[in-house]
Amino acid sequence: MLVIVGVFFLVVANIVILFISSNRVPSYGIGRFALYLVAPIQDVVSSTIKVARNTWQAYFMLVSTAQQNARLKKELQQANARNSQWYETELSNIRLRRLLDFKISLESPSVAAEVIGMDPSPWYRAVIINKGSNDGVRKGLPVGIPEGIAGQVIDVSAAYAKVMLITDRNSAVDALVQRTRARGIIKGESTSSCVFQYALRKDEVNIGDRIVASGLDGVFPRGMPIGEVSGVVRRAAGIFQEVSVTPYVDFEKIEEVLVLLTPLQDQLVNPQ
Amino acid sequence: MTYVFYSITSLFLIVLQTVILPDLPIFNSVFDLTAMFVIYLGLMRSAREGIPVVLMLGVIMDNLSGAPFMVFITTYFWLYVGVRWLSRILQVGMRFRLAVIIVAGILLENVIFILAFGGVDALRQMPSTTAGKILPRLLWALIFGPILILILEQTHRIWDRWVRTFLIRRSDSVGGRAAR
Repeated sequence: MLVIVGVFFLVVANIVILFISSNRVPSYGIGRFALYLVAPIQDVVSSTIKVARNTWQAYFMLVSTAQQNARLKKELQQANARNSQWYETELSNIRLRRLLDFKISLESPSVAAEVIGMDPSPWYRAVIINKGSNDGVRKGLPVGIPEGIAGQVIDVSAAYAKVMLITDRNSAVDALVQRTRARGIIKGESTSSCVFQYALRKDEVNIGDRIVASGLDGVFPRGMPIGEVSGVVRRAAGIFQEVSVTPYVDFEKIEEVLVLLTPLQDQLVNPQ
Repeated sequence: MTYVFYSITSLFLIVLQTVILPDLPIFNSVFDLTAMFVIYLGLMRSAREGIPVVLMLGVIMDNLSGAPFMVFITTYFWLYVGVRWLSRILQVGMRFRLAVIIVAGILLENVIFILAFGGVDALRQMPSTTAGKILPRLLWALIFGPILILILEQTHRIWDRWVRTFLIRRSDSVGGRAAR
């Protein structure tokens, strides 16, 4: 009985103390001491845990970011490669469309060919194309692109042919100045330009004049463009003037050509 | 088997020179790579082995080029003879011997080309063009020629070693089968 009464009083006293301390008494002494002692440790531990957690999370994030980065880089490379392929296809498409338009505009049947090799010597200008006698290509046939005359077939195998470009020193094309009809011969110089030889001094030739094939050599169709006059020298003596011509065809970048399967002389012999 | 090596190397150099390098503007004025192979043959290999390869290379290049037929055969043959002669008169221990032979070889090749191209007349007509074609090639040859020769020599050595190992293994396996 005494124990029960004692416990009862203890509970009541505890409640009263709790009630009084919670409303009026601030935590001095032990409360503050505990704060001073424990809080810094808590702070350190808490900070350490935070740092550890952040590092852990950041590490995993970095790993995943690195993986993601590698994946994205790979995707970007693939996209770039695809883009480059599409761009190349687009350019090829444009070139082939122009070649097709040119082919339609030609009266003679023709065959399109790709340039697969350049001349190994810097002194001569020839290219190898991927069409040969199997495709109807023969020695002596004219070769062109929409911009103008490219050259002439000089050697043929079953599947390939060698084309001497008009810039080769051994090449000669009978030509005329389109504006004044002054005649001459376009000779190669084995550089990127040609010369318009045997143009008489009395003939009017100016810079910018268009040079076209005369058709009189029996190889290249009349009126087919060759190039533009880039320089004229009239010396005091001599009956000819020196005329430099820049071809319309960029021979450094030539990729596809059209071989005209019927040379002009055949057309003249067998008009249909 | 060494002729297989010559065939593969020639093919590689020709394709490099006529298909790959023309697409790279920086290599537009690079020296004739097959001529460098001729120089290698003249310097490092016997005449019995070298001359057929040189003539065959000349025929192939004549077929690929717009040059009149025989120009490359002639050029390579005299280049080969010139290189062998130079390699004999220049002392083996001479410093820059290889570079001197290479530059002299490329110069000789271009001189023969000029003579075939139109003779002294062509040279007189366009001296700037001629100089513009020859000088960069000589410079390229001076810098990269010796490296290319050394690469060819090393590759040939590796090829020989590989072929020898292959033949020994093959003879061992044939011998083993016969013994069984």
